[in-house]
Amino acid sequence: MLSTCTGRRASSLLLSLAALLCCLTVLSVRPAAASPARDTLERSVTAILDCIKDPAYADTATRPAQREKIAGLVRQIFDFQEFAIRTAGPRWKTFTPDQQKRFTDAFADLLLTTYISKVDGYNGEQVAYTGEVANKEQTRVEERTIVTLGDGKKVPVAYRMMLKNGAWRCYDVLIENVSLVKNYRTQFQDILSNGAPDELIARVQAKAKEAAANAK
Amino acid sequence: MPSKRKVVPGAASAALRRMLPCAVLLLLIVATGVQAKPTYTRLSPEPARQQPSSLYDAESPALPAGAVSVTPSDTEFSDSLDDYDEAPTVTIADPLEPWNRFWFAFNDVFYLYVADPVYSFYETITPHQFRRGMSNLYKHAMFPTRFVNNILQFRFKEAGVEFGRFIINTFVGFGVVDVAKHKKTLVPVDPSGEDFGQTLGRWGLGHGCYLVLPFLGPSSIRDGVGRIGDCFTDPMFYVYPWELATASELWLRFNTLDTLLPTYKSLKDAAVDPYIATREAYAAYRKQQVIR
Repeated sequence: MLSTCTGRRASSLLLSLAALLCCLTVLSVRPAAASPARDTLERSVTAILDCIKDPAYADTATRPAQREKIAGLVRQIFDFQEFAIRTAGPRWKTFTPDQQKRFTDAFADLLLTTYISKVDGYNGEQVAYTGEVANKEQTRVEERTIVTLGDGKKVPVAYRMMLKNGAWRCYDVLIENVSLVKNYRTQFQDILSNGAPDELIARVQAKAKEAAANAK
Repeated sequence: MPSKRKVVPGAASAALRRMLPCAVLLLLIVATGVQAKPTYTRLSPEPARQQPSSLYDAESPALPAGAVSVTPSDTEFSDSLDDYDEAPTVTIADPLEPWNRFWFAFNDVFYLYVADPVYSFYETITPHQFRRGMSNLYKHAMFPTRFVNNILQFRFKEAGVEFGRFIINTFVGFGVVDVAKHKKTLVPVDPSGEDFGQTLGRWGLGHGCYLVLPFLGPSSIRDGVGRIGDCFTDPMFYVYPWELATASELWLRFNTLDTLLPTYKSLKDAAVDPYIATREAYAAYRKQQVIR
């Protein structure tokens, strides 16, 4: 009797071991956990979506506070200085530190206002993360997503991110493979070829003001 | 002891012996299974990687609104993630800039001060179901253009899907309901709509130069020629009398402004120089359309 029991226990032990191994195999065949860059991006996108879906956002009284919160979240994930450096191109080095600061601030204002006015039109969009491309040193990553719009249309959106001071920050966004940075860069190149940095800063400031007025 | 089973000495070891080969086999399967898993550590320079022609990876119609879904995938490696340090390469030649800027300004006034108010009025007098139906009908009528251009680009799977959708929408939706839109296709492609400009691009032709067309907006020499080519696959071209054909074509095109006007407005709102922003966006977008 004792030996039967031991035998059954042994076989059931073996069976459960086999089952456990099966489970482990299934788990190990699944791809490894998301990369830190995607993790950061995903957390930010989810937090921003949560802000918009918050009933406080629909209420006009509490909306400005919610907008501030979204702006904070956007500043956390987007590195506007990196955006500014890349859009100014090789001319960035000829800017004085003061000009660099004013340009970065104006450009950040413009991007933030445009982004938040886009967010206002949120209509049940869904975000799916479809893949990532990294450089050899793994210091730059392109996170690819597909945004499904309210009407079912799919728009590919890619975020280019870099490791800066130990955190992953975005330095470019590609919508339908149109790079935001490269698009602004061509515009700014044209303005800079005919005028001084101050003229460019003035134009960006004027545009940011105009966009803010339109958003209200 | 009233036991139904006979106690056989050594049964435990027998059971163990029976199980052992199974366990070993399982372990082997596990081991090989894990080893067979492909590892993605391609560190060579970016190979000519083509964009996927379908977006099926992201298929997630059952998700609740605003859901963030995760399709895990392995990391690819590429050296093309540059810092944009090099001088910008001009994506499209623009020798006709003064001429183009004039028509851009003309179109801007036309879109914002004529088309937009008229479309707003149109929206107030028509139900959205009607507008959706008409835009489906327009897409349906343009089937020959997409079909022929898929064939001309040797995209036979896409042509087949377009054909299947056309048949279904004709007999089930009478052209005004797009019933086939979200149906899973037999071949894993999701045709994104082709035109003759894209076909010419696929055949290796460049843009020539940028060209802003009155009323129609951004284009290029190649895409302008493409538009002329598309006339021949447009069923309206063969409708008689021509007044009826022109009127219905214009009206169906006007009906689709609901997607174009907001796109134009948001582009203009964000741009410091809307002309260059539109030009660059057009060139990059068409490039993507040709590749995929």
